[in-house]
Amino acid sequence: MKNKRLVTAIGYLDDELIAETGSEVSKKKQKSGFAKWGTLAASLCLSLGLLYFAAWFFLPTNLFGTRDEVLRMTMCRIEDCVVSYTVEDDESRFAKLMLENQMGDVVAQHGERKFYRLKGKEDLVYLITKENDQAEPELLCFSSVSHAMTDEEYRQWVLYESGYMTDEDIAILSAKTEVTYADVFALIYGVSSADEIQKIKVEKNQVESSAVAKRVEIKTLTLKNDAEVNAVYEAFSSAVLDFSYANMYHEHRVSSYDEAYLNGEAPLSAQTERKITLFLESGREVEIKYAPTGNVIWQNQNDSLATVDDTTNATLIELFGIDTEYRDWGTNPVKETKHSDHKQAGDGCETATVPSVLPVS
Amino acid sequence: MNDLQIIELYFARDEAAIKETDAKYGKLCFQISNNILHCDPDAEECVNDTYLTVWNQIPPTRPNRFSAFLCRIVRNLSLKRYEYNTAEKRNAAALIPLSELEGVLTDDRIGDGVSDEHLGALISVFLREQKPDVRGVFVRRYFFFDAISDIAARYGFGENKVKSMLFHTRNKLKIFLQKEGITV
Repeated sequence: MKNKRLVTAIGYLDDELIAETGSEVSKKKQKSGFAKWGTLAASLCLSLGLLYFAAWFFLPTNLFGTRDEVLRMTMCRIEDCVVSYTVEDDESRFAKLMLENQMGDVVAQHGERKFYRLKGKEDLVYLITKENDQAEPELLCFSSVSHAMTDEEYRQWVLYESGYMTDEDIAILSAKTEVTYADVFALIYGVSSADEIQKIKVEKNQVESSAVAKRVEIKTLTLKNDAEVNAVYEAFSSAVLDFSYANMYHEHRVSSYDEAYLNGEAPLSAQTERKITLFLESGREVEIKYAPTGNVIWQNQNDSLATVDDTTNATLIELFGIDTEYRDWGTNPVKETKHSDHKQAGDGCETATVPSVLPVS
Repeated sequence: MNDLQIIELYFARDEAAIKETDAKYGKLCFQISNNILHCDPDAEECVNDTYLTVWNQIPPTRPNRFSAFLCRIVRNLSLKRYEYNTAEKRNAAALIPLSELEGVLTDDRIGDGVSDEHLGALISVFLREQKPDVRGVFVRRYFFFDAISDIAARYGFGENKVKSMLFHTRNKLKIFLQKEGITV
């Protein structure tokens, strides 16, 4: 036998070497269930983690509800155009990260906020904004672009439609002891009497979007009669503007989101806001919102409210044919309703269960 | 029963010692013998001869490591049986692990003047310097004569890795022995 010496010599290996090797348990068998399942669990966790990160990074951020700018809308002037835009929140974090590379020239500035044109995009469809050097860029999507506005038109527009006021505007209005809608009509729209109003349309304010409000049917009413138009103009003109933010939400103003409204315990018609459109002889349209329960009118969501007194409010309720009784109209199936022959001119509703909770004097 | 208790049974000339030895190390002994002989009846015979040898050696011998003592005996007896079988042409199959060692010492005459025990001690020193896995694979292959596939399964390695480890260990052993004066 070849290598007999070596084979024999290996037979003289240390006892310890032989014993330790002879008693070694197979490593493969030694792999415990814990290690096996632990490895699997760790792999699974890692995979899920990677998947979550990929979704977090590459999917639109608003899927995770982490930002609240989705519905924010604001406006700015770019060159000779006035644009309104929304923050485009359908972008992923990855896309936002890439935005830095797409920033072109600065085209406008509003306070600390700078507006950048998208590289290679000449039209005002998308724009990037950055509040300062540290803020992350936001992609804006333009919802409207109004061209060729004069400086005066722009000032008026900014003042009464965007909700933004310049220091100069505030100074003018603050100089007056009391600002009424008569001032607004005269200053902004050049209207100083009801003769300059052709007709008035009264309809449901579609901004009301609660589930109950959506089900409430409000028939559109058009006032053409000179006496009615004059009465509405006089009523609105008497409304006093309150510029303080503290009173922005009028204490009497009840919205369709309020519990009493949602529970069907208050007059649905009266609590549903109206949109009043004044059609001027000049061809312009003036849009005013009216909350019957709050005695208030306003133009834009960001505007200050203007209050009318109870007598004037009662006049408006009558002119607009607003039902001040409690009406179910099927919006609250739990509540029993009584049928009557009573019909309201503006609402066209049949049920009439009292009580009325509207403070009409 | 632990090894010391079994050894005490041998010292007491209690035949239960063989029964206990078989219960604890019977499978290991048969595995070593069968790895060499590849013949169940011959391996069983070698294991029985091992028990008889142990019975005759204890006392007076008191082994420090009973398992190593037993393995060494069964290995030696099996190799003798293997030599006898191949000489008589009873089993012509070559013992592959032995042929693998040909490159380490090319001639049995090399290292004359050095006892087998001293050579074994040198190899032990060499193996102590190796990583535990390398050492284990070497001993499993050339002491216990395990098949490559069994070693691979035992250590969770691929067969190629085991072959590669053995190849490198043999080469390193050859160089080590040369440095130790075992001239090739």
